[in-house]
Amino acid sequence: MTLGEWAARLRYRYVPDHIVGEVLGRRWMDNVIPVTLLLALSIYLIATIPNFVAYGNLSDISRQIGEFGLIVIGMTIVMLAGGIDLSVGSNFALANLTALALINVAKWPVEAAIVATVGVGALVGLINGFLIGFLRLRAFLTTLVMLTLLRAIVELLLQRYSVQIASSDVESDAWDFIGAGSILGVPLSTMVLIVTAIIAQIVLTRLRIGWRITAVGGSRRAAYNAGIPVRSTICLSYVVSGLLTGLAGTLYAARLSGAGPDTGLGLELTVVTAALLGGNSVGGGRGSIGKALVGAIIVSLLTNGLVRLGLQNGSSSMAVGLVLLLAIAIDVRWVRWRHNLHAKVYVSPAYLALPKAPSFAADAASPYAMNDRLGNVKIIGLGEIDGPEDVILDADDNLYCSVRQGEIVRFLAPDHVRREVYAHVGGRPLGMAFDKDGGLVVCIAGMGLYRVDKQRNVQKMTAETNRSAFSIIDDSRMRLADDLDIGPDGKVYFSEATIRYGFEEWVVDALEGRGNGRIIRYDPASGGTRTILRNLLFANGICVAHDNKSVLFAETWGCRVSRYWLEGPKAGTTEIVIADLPGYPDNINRGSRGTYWVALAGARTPSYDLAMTMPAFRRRMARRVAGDEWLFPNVNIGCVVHFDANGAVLESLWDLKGENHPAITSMREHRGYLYLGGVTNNRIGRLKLADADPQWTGESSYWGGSR
Amino acid sequence: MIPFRKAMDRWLGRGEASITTPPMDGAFRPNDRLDAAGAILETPAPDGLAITSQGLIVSSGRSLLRVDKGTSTPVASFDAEITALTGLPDGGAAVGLNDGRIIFVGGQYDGRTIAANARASCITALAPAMDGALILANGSATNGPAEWRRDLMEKNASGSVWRLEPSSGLATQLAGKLAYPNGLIEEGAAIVVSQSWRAALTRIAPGDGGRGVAVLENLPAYPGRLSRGADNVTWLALFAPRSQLVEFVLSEDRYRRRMISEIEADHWVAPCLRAGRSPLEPTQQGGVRQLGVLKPWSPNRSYGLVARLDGAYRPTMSLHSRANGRRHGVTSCLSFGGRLYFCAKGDGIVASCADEGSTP
Repeated sequence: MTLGEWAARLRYRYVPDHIVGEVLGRRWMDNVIPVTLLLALSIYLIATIPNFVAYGNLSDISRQIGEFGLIVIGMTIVMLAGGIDLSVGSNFALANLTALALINVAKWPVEAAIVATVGVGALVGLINGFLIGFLRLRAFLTTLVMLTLLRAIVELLLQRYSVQIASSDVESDAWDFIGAGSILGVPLSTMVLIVTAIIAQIVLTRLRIGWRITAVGGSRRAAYNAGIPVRSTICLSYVVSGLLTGLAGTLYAARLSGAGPDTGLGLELTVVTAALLGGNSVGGGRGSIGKALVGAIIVSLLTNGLVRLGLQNGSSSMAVGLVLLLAIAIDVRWVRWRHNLHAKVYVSPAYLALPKAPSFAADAASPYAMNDRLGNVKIIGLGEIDGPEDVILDADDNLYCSVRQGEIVRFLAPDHVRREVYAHVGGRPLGMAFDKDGGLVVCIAGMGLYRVDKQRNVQKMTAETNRSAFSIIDDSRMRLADDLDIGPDGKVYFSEATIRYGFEEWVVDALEGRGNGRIIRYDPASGGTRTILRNLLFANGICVAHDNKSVLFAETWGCRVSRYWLEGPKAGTTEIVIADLPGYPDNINRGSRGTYWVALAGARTPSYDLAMTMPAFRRRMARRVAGDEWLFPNVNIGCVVHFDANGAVLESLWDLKGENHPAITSMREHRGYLYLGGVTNNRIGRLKLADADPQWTGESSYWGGSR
Repeated sequence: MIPFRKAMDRWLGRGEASITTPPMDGAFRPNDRLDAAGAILETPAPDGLAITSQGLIVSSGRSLLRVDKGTSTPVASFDAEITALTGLPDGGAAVGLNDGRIIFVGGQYDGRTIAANARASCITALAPAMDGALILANGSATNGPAEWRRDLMEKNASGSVWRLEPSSGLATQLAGKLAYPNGLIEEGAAIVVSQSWRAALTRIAPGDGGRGVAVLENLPAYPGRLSRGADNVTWLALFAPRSQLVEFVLSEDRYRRRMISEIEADHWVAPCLRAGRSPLEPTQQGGVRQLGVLKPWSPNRSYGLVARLDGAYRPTMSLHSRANGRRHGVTSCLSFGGRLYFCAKGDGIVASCADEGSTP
């Protein structure tokens, strides 16, 4: 190995390139800019303004944030549903006036006054919601008109009541507590905000109505088609906004006890700025309470800080305006930019040096020497099936295969001419195995591990495993369950080919050549699912050994077969059984006389093997060359390899021309015949085996003793 | 700014460094006409076609065969592989051999041998000039005709065009620094040369100092032999397709060098005359056989393509054998007696179809 290769190997082992793409793919990345902004702003303010962190100032700011944050939460909910509420400024002023008028002038009890004030806010929201949700007026114009109307009402009422409000005095401890009190050192309005935020978060993320709001904002038509009552959902979002604005107005009234013409003036713009800056989308469907709070805090700190820095009055509005522009720009650009960057950097090839491939030239003296034993096999179901990834036979000789349409197709014994859909399971069914009770356990890409019982009921066995401690992408959910086998105790061992890609993208995983796969164990007795092996190079075929003491598994990109010990002195360890296959192994299954079969879905090519040692070359190829043009393992040829318990290769069966069985992904021995399936083929092959035990079946090998 | 931008482009793979190939469109719109043509002769690696007083002959390995008589009686056999062939106005033929010799068969110089010229020993094409001289295309200064893939992957441009006096054997160089000249057609005083690795046709006129002027560029495949048809039509055989992957590998120097030094040439990521012979050859994602079918549009390292060019060397029509076809690697084509003959070297077939080029 040259120095350069050695350096490349080290660099690709220890620099985790793939993390960048994974981080960019996470939804919490949306919060990175707002949170960074918040931290930077806080540090700046603390550094430049003396006593900024003093209790009095913080308490003052947090009271303001409490009121402001409530309105931002309301705005966020409206924006999540795809709307906008510009009337919050006037509504806030109206609520403030209502509260003061009821308490100072009408002398209502505090509780009744609060309920009435909040009710007035909610009523305004209801009018908005009715006009926008049910009459389907434009949100922007409707709430803008509402803003002007309410402002006019407030001014009319002010002319009548302002003197009375200012001249009367209120003697109420409760009212004073609302305005200036604290709970556990936290100002009351902040406390109200925290409680509201928690409730809103739960409603939005855990309750049906919250999901509906997000769905309506994400796609109104799709939500309608899904049966969501779109109109009332939209109406509700405005009611919530009005209600929270009313609550904020009450708190403001209690704190300042003053009503003037400039109360809440321009507030709508500040609120929209905060909501957008936090990362909520103005287009709807994307946003959260957390984002709303971050935005609210940033804008409050900014306006407050500017005042404290002694800037003139207008400069505060100007700063808000500039920040709003910034927020809009981020809202428009961020998602697309992140998406583009994510698409560019997600694929991150790794260094993979395979051992030298054994020659399989026809005249080579190796068990892999090419022959045409698969060139002339009996064809079953030609053109009737689309991609039988796995084939299996039951005790009555019926032949099952898993096809692309999400079905298990059964060819009936004895001649396998008549066929029927045994079960529709959905997804992309791949590996199959019969359990002790005759149920067919299936690995389904995109879904997980499922079982079809003898009455053809389809049940989920498991779709989740334990999440790894330091995985950035969520690897608890199964994306590409591939093949399985069942131990005598009923435990299911199955492989997940890759945690980074779905079934349609397995090609990209080939290009990456990183150990993204794993082996998972499911225990039907306890219902528990555990990952037992990680970082496998496209974990594929899996087979419980004849003696049930170990599990054999194939790593497709690693071109090797390994053994995982279940019991005995080496329990829990892994050892390589066949290190240097000349092709890419797929499923492994038991054969008669204590042997095993492994399918090779393609042959190794020198050009691809070389490319696997040059990750940067492959990364550039992925970015610069169209996917159809990518260099690729040669899967236009198929092979089946027969080996014994020690990994010694006994024979290999090739399809020289690749006409009948290119890309063989599965084979099963059954009563002296070998059945062949392929993930991109339109047929199943049947071949008479000369030296096989004509009585042997998989069924008897696994469950012969126990049934 | 310009050098900086070039470096940026190279790093990011955009601008001039982006990997593109011309689409098969317009006059190059795909069809199956090469596959529909009737086979006349099956022989290993038919390479060149020529019209002589004996009729149409084809070179195959070390022999010259009459196309209509087949393999039964070779017209002539040599002790080295034939790499170029042309018919002469006097009814004879000139044959270029792998070792650089030129031998005349029939006609006034019958039996005459011109010894190899060390500076022009990669004879890829021959053509008679008006004045009785012979024009010779020397593909590469370092590689022989059989190593054309190496010449491409080494990104050479060391070919040249020579003028040869048959009587004296005197050779004069007309142009140099050509990227694998692989086809010739004389045009009065000037010569039009196909430069395979530039995917272009170039006109070399006496007064231009051997620099040449491009007459057709951006071909979607590597151009090979040229021949003149009726009505001032020119026929061009394009022997292998250009592909994004190969262009990409050409831009990747480290991979390219290691591939050349570590891997057998048949298994390189490089164009070829017939792909899919060995499972060790590279494949591409779009070339995966689906449900037993190899799609005709799938990317492939070999292809069959003949183009008809008008008097100004503009392509007007083309005949194809696509990825799933069986007439790949067309090295020569010739219009004769109202029919278009071509030899698919990759698939070992000489075939013909009606020459629609003669009826505009």
